[in-house]
Amino acid sequence: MIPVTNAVKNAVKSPVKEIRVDISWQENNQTQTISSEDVVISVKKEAEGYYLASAIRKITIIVSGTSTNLLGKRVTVSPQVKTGANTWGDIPWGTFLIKELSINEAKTVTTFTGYGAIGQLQENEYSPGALTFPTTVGALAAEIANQNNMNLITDVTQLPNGELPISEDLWAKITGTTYRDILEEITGATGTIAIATSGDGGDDELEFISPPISSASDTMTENNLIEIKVGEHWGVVNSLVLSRQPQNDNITLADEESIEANGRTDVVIANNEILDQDRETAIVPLFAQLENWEYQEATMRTEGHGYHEVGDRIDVTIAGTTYKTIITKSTIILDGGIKETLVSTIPEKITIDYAKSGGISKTVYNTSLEVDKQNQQITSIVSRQDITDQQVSEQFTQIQQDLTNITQTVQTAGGGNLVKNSVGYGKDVNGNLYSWDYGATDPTKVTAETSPGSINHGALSGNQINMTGEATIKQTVAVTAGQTYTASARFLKDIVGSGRVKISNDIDEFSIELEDQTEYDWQELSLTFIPNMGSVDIEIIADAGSEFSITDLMLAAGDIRQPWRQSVGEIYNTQVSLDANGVQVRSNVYTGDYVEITPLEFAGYSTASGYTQKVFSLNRDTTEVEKLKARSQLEMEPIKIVPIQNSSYAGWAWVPTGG
Amino acid sequence: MPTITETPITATLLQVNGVTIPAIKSYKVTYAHLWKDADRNMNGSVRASLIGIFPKIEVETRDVLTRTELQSIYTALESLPFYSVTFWDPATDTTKTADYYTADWTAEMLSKNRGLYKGAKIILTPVNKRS
Repeated sequence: MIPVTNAVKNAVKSPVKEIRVDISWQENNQTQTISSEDVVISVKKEAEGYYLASAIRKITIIVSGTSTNLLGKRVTVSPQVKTGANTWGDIPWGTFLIKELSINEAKTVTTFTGYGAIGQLQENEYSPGALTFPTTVGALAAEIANQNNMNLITDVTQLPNGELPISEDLWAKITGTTYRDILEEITGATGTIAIATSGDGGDDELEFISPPISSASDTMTENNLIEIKVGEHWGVVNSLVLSRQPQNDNITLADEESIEANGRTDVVIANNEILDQDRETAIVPLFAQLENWEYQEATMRTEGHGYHEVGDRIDVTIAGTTYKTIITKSTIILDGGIKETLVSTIPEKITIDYAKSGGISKTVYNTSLEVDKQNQQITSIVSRQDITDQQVSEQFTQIQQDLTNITQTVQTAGGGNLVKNSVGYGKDVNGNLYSWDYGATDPTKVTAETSPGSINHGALSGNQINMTGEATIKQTVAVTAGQTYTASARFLKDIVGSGRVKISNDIDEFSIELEDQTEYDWQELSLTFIPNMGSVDIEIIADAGSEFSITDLMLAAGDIRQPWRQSVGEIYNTQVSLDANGVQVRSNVYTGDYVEITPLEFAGYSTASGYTQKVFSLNRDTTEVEKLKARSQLEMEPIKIVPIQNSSYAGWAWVPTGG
Repeated sequence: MPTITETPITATLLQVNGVTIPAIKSYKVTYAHLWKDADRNMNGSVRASLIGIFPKIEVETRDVLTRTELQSIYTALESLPFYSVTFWDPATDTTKTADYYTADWTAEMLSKNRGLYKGAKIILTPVNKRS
């Protein structure tokens, strides 16, 4: 809670009140001030933050006239409430760095936007060497505060894991890490929320707040609220999961008796670099901190207090029932009056599969060695996973060692596609697609071509397979029984006709259906499934009378759709195919002409004669050509042929070699 | 009915940009309270913020104005979008000065031959709340 006097508290809770606001900054060693008594039209403060993370504050100041004087300045915003006939009490909101301005010439007003100290930490990229290692969590917090001109007012060494050692710079090789990222690793390790407040001297203060908060910073009743919406109750916390992703490596500490009595409420902390050093040790004090934490989801419009902060616990009594709320978001507008909305958001409920795990929404770096003594297996993984907007791309190398084998896996960004020749780049001399079984299907009903139209709709591969019903092509893919897979593809189909991508084996059957009377304009469809056998057949099926095209066909492990990639061992593009069948390079001048190197021969094919014809081949010691053009000599010992052309005659001369 | 007497007010009632408004027949100051975000809490009690008290001045001249008098009013009121007003403040029993602006006011002819106009009614609104 922002520190205010009782007189201020009483004044803002009065039926009627007077509010004003001063904004000051330093310029040329002088304090400049504007206020709601002169040019300030309105001030809006927004703050948002969550436990195990940090709270960011934003200020929007609208002043009359067109001015740029606040841009780049660190302003101190001080609302005041009238506490007596001629006395005013401060509600110090702290300092904000003004980063943006916009001018509305028609209304002759200027809008300035600024951010609090943690917003600035987000902009300050961490550079290796800026901090001193080895260190401890507490010392790291102090050093971050010091480097960013903040006063640390919490004794972090007294927090859970506050004295946990950090032997080396854990973020040195993670590009784009900001000081806020490291700050949030500290909040995760200590089970706190980090907020920046205004100190007595006007400097920003960094505070770590610990849940569950033992006492409320304020209480409210119907007298203090214009309206309230009370939501779900969260807690009590009785399980803590420290998770490493994407390898689903979790350790859990739980209170089984509490789970039995209250149901399970998990707190999940994923990929915390500090905790990952020694999770088994770190989880114990952290669980002691978080256990029995509970609060209520709520949205409240108050009578306008102005001194509540993110992280505050406010006990609200409505109709005789008291709800414990934790402020995670607040919006306050001062425009002559005061409007205040406080939100208590409960954490998203994450269902933990204790065999696997989930819950990441950013770039995750992992380096881990898992030892499974039960199965006598060691797995080491170095990975990077990016998750954006429901898509995941992943790079990793993995070495798995058991009693008889060492298996090495290298996966490039985007993950491997289990479907070979998934968009039809690879074709034989007859135009039939490599890797696909046609069965009884007439091969002319399945073609492949470049696909600029699909790229315009967001496809990645640039090639498409065209199916004309009735037709089916199939290939068998090796999978792991019991593991989740996701298949996806983009489709183009007129309104008439139906088809599907069917994934099946002797036990399972799944499909992505293309409905009759439905048009698809390179729409992306996906299917997540768990096979019960070690292989599946993937079939592309066009029903009788239907025509459709498919591109970006992708099948990969995991429950998130992945962007299209080629299968392991394939290099396909418009001109070049490299796969288990060899190398094929296609002409971009003469359509249908190509050369290929296969396990059988080196050969060239051309459509110059009107149909596809092998025009040369090199097979063991024999070269065959359709046409041969020599510019100056043909030689086979002991004779060579050379051209003769002069004014008297033209022709070939057969002469001895070496002449 | 008892006769009520009091010390007379000798100060000028109203000056606009230094020009004394002539022939004032009635003089009224309304202390307007301007509120913001007036609402009622969940118990039904009022909650509101007072922006300030704004002394609004309404004057009426006598029913007939001369051409010279009317012109002096025009000169005072039409020179700027807002102007410095010195007025008698009944609340403090003193003369105050503050910035004011005015809405429409009317100059209506009474007699062309005699060069006379009807009296004017002027409403002055303060730019700022009372300090």
